[in-house]
Amino acid sequence: MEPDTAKIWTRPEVRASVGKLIVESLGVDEADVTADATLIRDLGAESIDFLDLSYKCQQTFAVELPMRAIQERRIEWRDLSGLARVLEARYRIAVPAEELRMVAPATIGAVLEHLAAKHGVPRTAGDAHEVIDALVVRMLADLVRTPLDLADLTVDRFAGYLEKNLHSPDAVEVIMNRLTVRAVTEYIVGQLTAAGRLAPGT
Amino acid sequence: MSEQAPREILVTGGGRGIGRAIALRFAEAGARVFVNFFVNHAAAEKTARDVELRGGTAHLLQADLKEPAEIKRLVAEVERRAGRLDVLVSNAASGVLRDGLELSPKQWDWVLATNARALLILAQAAARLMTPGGRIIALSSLGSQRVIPGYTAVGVSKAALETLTRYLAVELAAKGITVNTVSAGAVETDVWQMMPEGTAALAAIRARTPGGALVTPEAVADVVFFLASPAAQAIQGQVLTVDGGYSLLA
Repeated sequence: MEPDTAKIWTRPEVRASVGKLIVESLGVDEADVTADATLIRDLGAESIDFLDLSYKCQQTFAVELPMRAIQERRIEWRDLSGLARVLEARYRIAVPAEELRMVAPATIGAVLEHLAAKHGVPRTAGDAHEVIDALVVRMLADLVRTPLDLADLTVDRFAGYLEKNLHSPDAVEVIMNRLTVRAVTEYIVGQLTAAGRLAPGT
Repeated sequence: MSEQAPREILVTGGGRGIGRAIALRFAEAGARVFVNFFVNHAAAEKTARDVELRGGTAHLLQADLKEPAEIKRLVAEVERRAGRLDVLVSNAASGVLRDGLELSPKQWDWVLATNARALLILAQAAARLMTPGGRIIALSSLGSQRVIPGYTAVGVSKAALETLTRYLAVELAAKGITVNTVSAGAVETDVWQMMPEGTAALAAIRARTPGGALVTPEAVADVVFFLASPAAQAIQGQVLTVDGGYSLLA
């Protein structure tokens, strides 16, 4: 029940152990657990698997996988509370997320029209784009400290999905597909390095 | 009250929500509380700190309760540190929000093992450490009796747990141990924030509850604390509903 916090890991050991834990938690074949495999799309992981994997990572590496943080971000996108905070910061107006969810269609244009009509917030040229960019920057910043490989995910690409639909399943999918075997391994390597528990030069 | 309060308490799923409130309630009576948790280390550590601030002693024990071997290790750790156990609160629960027709065997097994079988294995291990006056208290919910959308696996697991309560009660009565379950209504905990439209669902339940107030984690903890007291010695094998009257309405 107590993880070994004194063990110094090498990178190949971490890689092998992560693979083994994924095989055990998700009940998948070892051959399918390649570095590029995404946990959800390719390996079929679901919420209980992530709980299992989180637990096993704690037991093995004494490192927590912040899956809860990712889940909370997903909820913020879905229920538009993230958008509510962006609007509050930009327009100094506190509009509850419930009110934003009533706006149809669920586009940023319709939301800004609603704010103009109901709350007197003036529209300006390019405001929809700016709000979406602020929303995406906020989302991505929140996800930096999670096991998602966000390396080549640009604000523009992500904003494209949300501009069309604030609840865009594509946006969520593009994020969740960054949860790869490699990303989980690198996250753990990073945490072990920060704790001085990764052998140098491995 | 404190001189009557049991000293050695194990609360599974004690890091958050109702389990946390139960841990704190016993801490106020000066108990040593073994706080079991699964993955949320930060929440469990906060509960442990708060147990100490309320006058109790806390030990954190991480374990995966769907694994019998881990439950045995958990109780062995209690035995090693305390030598006995006065109260077992089987509170930990896990769920999959899915209709019955969509449930996979894996999801079913996960939920049943975590929510129902854990009580069995815990009771088997814990009863050995108990003396007459020992208490086993489990936590259930309305979904064991009524149909809540997406709640199939959890509802079935809670029904199993309630039935197990009666069987264990009869078996353990001769040892002077009581076994009871508290069936809580909707309690405002962070679980609801993780559900789609959870906040709206809570508001609807609040509006429907006679008296217009949701049951708090502290209110549930008070009932658990009472069942653990000598005053509740004659309550055996019961499922006590604590829902503010919500389930009374047709």
